[in-house]
Order: sequence, then C-alpha cells, then structure tokens
Amino acid sequence: MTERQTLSEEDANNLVVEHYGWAESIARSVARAWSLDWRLDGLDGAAMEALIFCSRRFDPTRGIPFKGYARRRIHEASTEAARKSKGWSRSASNKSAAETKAREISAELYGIFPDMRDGQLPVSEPSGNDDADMRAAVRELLVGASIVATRQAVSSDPLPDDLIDYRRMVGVMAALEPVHQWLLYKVYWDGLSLRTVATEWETDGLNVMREHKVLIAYLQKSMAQGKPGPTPKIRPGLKALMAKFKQEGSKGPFTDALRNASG
Amino acid sequence: MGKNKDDKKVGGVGSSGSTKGVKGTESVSQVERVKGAGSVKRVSGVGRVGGAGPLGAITLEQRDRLMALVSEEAEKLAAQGVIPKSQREVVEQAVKMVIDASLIEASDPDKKR
Repeated sequence: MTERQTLSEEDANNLVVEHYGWAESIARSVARAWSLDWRLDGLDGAAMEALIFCSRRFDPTRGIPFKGYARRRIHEASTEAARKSKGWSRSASNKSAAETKAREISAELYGIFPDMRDGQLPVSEPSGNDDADMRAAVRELLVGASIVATRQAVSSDPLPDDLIDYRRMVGVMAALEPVHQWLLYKVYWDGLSLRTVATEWETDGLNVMREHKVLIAYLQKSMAQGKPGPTPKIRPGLKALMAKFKQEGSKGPFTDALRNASG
Repeated sequence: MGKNKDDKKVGGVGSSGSTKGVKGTESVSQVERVKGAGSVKRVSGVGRVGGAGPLGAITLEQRDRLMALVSEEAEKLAAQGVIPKSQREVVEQAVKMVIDASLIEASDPDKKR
C-alpha cells in the first residue's frame, strides 16, 4: 500500500477557502430537508470542521477530486450535528409526530444507503432506462423505509396494528434462506450499511447491494400477495456464507424470532 | 495454350550493373535487458458511459420530478399492501427528506434559511 501524500498546510488552507461555500451548501441542504436552521442548529460549524479535517487528510495523488472525497464526510457531519441539535428534539412538540418519525427514519436510511450522501440513488445494476432505474431506486428506498418504520414502531410502545404489520413482515422474512435473513437483519436491525456488511462478509460490495435489491423485490411481492412468494436464489458470491450458516445450524434470526414467539 | 500474335519477343537482357560492394554492418554496441512492466498503481472506477456522471446521480434540477415519483410509488405500494396504510405518510416523507438532504443547493455563503 502506498503512503498517504497529504497537502502542505498552505495548500490545505487554500482548499478550505475554495470550498467553504460548497460545504455550507451541504449543511443548508440537510437543514432544509429536516426543517432546521443550518446556523442556529450548528450545522454550519460541523460542516466547516469536516471540511478542515478533509483538507488535512486529502491525498491528491489518489486521483479522486476533493469534492468527491469530502462530500460524504461533510454530509455525515451535518446530519450528526442535526440529530444532536436542539431543533431536532424541539420539533417533537412543535412539529407533527409524523414529521418527527419521518426524520428518524430518514436518518437511519443514510446508514443503509450511504451513497445517498453523495447524491446518488441506490442503482447497482443500470437497465439502460434512467427513468425505470430511478423508479426502482425510489421503491427500494420506500420499502427500506417501511421496514425501518415497522421496526421502530415495535421498539417503542407499539399499537396493535403495528404488531400485526411487524409479525406479517417477519413472517415473510422468515421464509428466506438464513444468509438472506442475516443480510436484512444486519442492515435493518443492527443498522449496518450494505457496504459494511460486504466488508464483514469479505465479499464484494456489489454482491450485497444486488442481493439486497432482490430481497426488497421479494418483500414487495410477498407483502402484496399477503404470503411469502418463491424465495430468491443465493448469488454465487454468497454461497460460501450459506454453507457457513448451515454448518453453524443457523436457521436465520427471523425464523428464530418466530419460533421463540410461538413458544 | 495458343500464342497471342501481338506478343512481342524479348529482344535480350542487358547485363545488370555489378554490385559495388556491401559495407559491413556496425556492431551492436549495447543491448538492454528487457525490463519488467511496472505494476499498475491504481485503477480508478470507470465513469458512466456518455458522461452522465456517477450511477444514480441526482441533481437539484430533478427535485420536483423525484418528489412526484416518491408520491406515485408510495401510493402504489400502499395500494398493494406493501407499505401499511398507517405508515404511508411517514414513509413517503422520510424518503423525500433523504432525497432532499442529498440535493445540494448552489454555493452561496451569504444565503440564509
């Protein structure tokens, strides 16, 4: 691995001067989406700190443009500041309960789909039709948000309807192969990103991203039918894991949850 | 095969000029060893064909279209029972927030919310 070649302090400072307006515009975008004040709620400071940090770490010899390198980090710093801000908690009384829940879900979605921080929809396999790809990505986000919403509802004083929805969803997930159940569990229950799961499983990120898309399509179809549909095949890149889970005797976290619930 | 009347006989062959001489080739002074190819330091990701930016990239200009798409798809999914009807509003709003916060405004340091 080659050694990191960072900029001189003067060049790094120049990067900050050149990009601070851009970094603030990221903070403003986050504030706009969550109805916060980008200055009062401290998003401007967080974005600036992240910008300075990135300017010190930036290695121009790696061939990645500075904006491409820094955008995700500045966005992440802005959303973290937003979640810790007074405006975030203040909204619980001022804003509708639905808006507060929506914020919490959207914050979790960034963990699952971190490419959104770079302004990229989750498109892992382009079909050649941009509109169709955009729709598919939006559906993936909506179904993902629905899983998060159901899980969040159950973890905090659930209504009977929430419990029914939760059981229905878990029932559909429990029909999947253990490796697929673990993928969904790690993403939606453990809060790991798809890329982190891929790293943990020592496989290519695209393997996990494409498999996730297939699983979302399965969930969509099964939930619409009201019963589990034909379960998706396991992609060759994940077959070694399937063998591992079977060897360990794991039936999958959702199968176990249902079995425990029914005593 | 018959002979063509128009064919003319070759009158004769003049003697070819004698070769004056061949200069000796110069000796090869040095042969460098074949060097191994240097290893590829890094291969950067292939950009999207057509130069339309990274895969799935969205811009502020697409905002209205994207928001409409989210509403349309949320309605469809709720009608199919994929999204519980009680969650539809929250889920739709959450996805709109994620998209909205990903769309960067034009840089303007003096602009206030």
